[in-house]
Amino acid sequence: MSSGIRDFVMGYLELAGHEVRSDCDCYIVRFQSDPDRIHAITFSSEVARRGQCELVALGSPFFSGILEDTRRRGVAAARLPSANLEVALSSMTSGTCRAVLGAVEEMSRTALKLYYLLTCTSHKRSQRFVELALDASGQEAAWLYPVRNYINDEKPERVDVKELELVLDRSASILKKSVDQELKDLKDESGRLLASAVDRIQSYYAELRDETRNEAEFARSRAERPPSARHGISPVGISFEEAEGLVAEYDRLEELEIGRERARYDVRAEATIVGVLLVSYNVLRCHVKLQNEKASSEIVVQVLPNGDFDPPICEACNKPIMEMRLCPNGHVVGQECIEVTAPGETRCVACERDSNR
Amino acid sequence: MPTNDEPLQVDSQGSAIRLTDAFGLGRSLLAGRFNSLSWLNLCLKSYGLTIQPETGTLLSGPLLGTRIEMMPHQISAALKVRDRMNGRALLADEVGLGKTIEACMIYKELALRGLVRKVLILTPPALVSQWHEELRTKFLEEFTIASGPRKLADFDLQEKLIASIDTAKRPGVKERLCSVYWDLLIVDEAHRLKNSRTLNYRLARDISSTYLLMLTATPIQNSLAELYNLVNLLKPGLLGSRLEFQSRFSADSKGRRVTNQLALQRILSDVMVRTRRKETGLPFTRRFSNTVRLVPKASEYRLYNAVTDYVRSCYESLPEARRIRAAPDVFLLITLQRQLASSTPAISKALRKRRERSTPEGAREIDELLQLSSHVKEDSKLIAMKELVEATSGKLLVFTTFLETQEYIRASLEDLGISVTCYSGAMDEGERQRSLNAFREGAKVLVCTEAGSEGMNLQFCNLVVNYDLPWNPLRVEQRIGRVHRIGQVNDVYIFSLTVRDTIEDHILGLLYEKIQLFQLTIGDLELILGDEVRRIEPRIFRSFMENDRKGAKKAIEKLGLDLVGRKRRADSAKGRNDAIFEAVNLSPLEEGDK
Repeated sequence: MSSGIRDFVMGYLELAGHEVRSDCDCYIVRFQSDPDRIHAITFSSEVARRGQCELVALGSPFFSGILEDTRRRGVAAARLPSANLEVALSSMTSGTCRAVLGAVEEMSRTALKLYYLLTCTSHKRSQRFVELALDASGQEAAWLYPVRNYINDEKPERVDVKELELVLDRSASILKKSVDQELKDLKDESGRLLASAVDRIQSYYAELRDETRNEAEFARSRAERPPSARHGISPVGISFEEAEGLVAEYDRLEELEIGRERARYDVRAEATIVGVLLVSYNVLRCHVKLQNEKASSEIVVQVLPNGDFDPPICEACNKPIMEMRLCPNGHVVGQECIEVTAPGETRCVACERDSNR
Repeated sequence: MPTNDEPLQVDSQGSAIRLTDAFGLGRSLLAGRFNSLSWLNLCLKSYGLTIQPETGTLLSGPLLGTRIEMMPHQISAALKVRDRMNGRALLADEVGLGKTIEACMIYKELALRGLVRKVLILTPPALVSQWHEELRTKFLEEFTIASGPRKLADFDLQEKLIASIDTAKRPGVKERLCSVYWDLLIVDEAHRLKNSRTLNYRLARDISSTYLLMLTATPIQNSLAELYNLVNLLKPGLLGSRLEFQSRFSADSKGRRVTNQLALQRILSDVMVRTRRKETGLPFTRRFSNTVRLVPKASEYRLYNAVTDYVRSCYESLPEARRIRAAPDVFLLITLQRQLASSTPAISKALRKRRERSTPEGAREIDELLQLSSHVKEDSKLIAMKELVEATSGKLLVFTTFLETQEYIRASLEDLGISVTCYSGAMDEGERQRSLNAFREGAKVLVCTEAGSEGMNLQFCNLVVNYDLPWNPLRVEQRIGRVHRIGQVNDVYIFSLTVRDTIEDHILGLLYEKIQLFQLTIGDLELILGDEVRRIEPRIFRSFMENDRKGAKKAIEKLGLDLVGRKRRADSAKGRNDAIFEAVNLSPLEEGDK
């Protein structure tokens, strides 16, 4: 018996609040909703064979029942703790630049983590999970994938149904992109097999038609011979009308068989939503003062729960900056746009551009 | 939000992705109905348990392992059909190797993998209920039997349907079965499809299914062309055109011998599995049949004759049309006659019941019979039964058709201090299981009625007693099959109790012993009897009701000769298959498995 099944079942019974008592290799389950109802289960085939209790295995009624119950409960809500701003600020700057936190505003946000079971079926079948994380605007929220530090079971104060509907719909097109290649490969493979099956059927029925017409032709030529030339063979056989009737039947069967093969090799993909997690979190809008010995500048950044922030734009190259530096003239620039001109002396590309003007 | 009812189609590379929400999670989300994160994690974990793409093992293995003894050749066949034959195969194991179980294993496997939902099983009429019971008791699958106008009304909407081939090919029924695309079609005793010009063949050809399993021990009954026809149902054209096939593989004009065996083996191995007994390495023990013919006591003799005369007069009073088509009242009379042969308590109870519905004149007649029954103190069969129990040291499985007889035997044996347990269709599942355990663990005798006995595996016992005798040979084999099956390590001894000069006595002597019924398996019987099996019971009954004693014996003897002829033909078909497939190895077993 797989330990996965045992762990799952015991986890279920605990979560559902059913009372479980172990008795040798049997477990006596008393149902929370109906304490008079008890059920004896086992994970041991040997014990089940003795007929004392029901084996819990794939396909057994007890297991199927709890699978279904569990799968109806795949919607949860959780909250993420806000970012640790001290850590976030320290990662924003480098060199002599320091970030000093000013005013902080909390902006409440939601995102969805959607779990799909993708099943691709043709002459064979494959299944895999697809996990999607989308923010409230329907954009993929890649930062959310590795996040696990949820504050359990905290529900949002209100649910914006319209927003959620939009996100759910948007997930479909993101899902599509993620399976395109897989479906194309499967389609190519099944297409090759279908072509070979159709070829087999077509040649089979072509031969049948030829044989049937030849048989009719042969019967006719025998019938036209004088009795003395028939060598004792009576001129029986199928007539042309009968042959054409058979050929028409072969045409019908050929079409039917090819249709069945097409259905067999048809590529189908089904994505079943198997889990939904509504994540609530705060984005922190922070006023940050950057300063070094010679200059200071104030910027506003939005910090996500994992510490990621909207990167400010480099004043020199207009690209987002992940690690900010402050030049002596107060330009906020990235690492690539600042250079050391002498020990303790730096100059940025923006300063250079200003001096050239 | 996509729901199960309204799937959203997203076109991807020309193929639609269907978005579904089988458990209404979208609705729960929008309604703000949330569970804890632990439930979500458990839910996701549950899918991990059911997505198991690996090959080489059966997902259904652990579950089925507790209900059936899965043999290596059956596991290999199931894996081969699932992984290499794409679920379309001719299962042609030799008789007695468990093809039905093999097919059910494949079905269960495909179902657990989510590949099969709509299943249609076509069987000979006599095997419909056996399939139904096997699936229910061993595979926990409830199927609907397509029979009777009410059940036929919506049968094509059923997801799991068993139909007899005869029902399925009826006009109106066939069209509806063919209008459904089935996930799996199983055809039992597929040699009935051997001729491509028959309605049976056309039925199987016109039903569309993704997976197809055809079961027969004798794909060739007369000529190779029959094998060709069966393979064409699985993969049309695989063996080329008929002429091409004949010229390539048939060594004679009648298609009795095969040539190019290796080439044929290569092609057939794509669609056919055939395990021979000798390849399994399983012990196949023998059966020994013993008839215990008893001389009736005078009181029994008088009761027997009086009730038989009564049954005959009831039969003669029926309109001829009802007698000919064996209407239900004929079967009631057959049952009465069989209750008479079973035991005095069985016939007494039946008579008392009959009396309640009778006219005053009829009641008087029945009262006389009841009076006669009260003179029988103890049945000769019961005395013989007690002697048998005392003379044997092993466990005894005793069969009777009637509950009253079951109780009669139980009470009498218990009075002797013998430990007895009972098993019948009147008991619930738990009671039956406890009864079987008691028999396995201590009781010397299990008294069993046929009803509900199909799922029992009692290989630990090797003594079977037919306390009364079914008139239908299939029932006899089903009884013996409870102990004489794969896994039995001892020879099996069958004792049949009959009272001299009764109908049962003639059936046993003139019919069953002639065809050596007690040596035959279900598969053998199907080959021999075919559809005749349904007609045997009324035919026997008519022979006795419409003739005097001498004439009845003659009629039964004639039926016996007819069956002997059928057996000879079936034996020669088996021989032909053995000869042809001896050279064509289609065993699913690897060397190490044998």
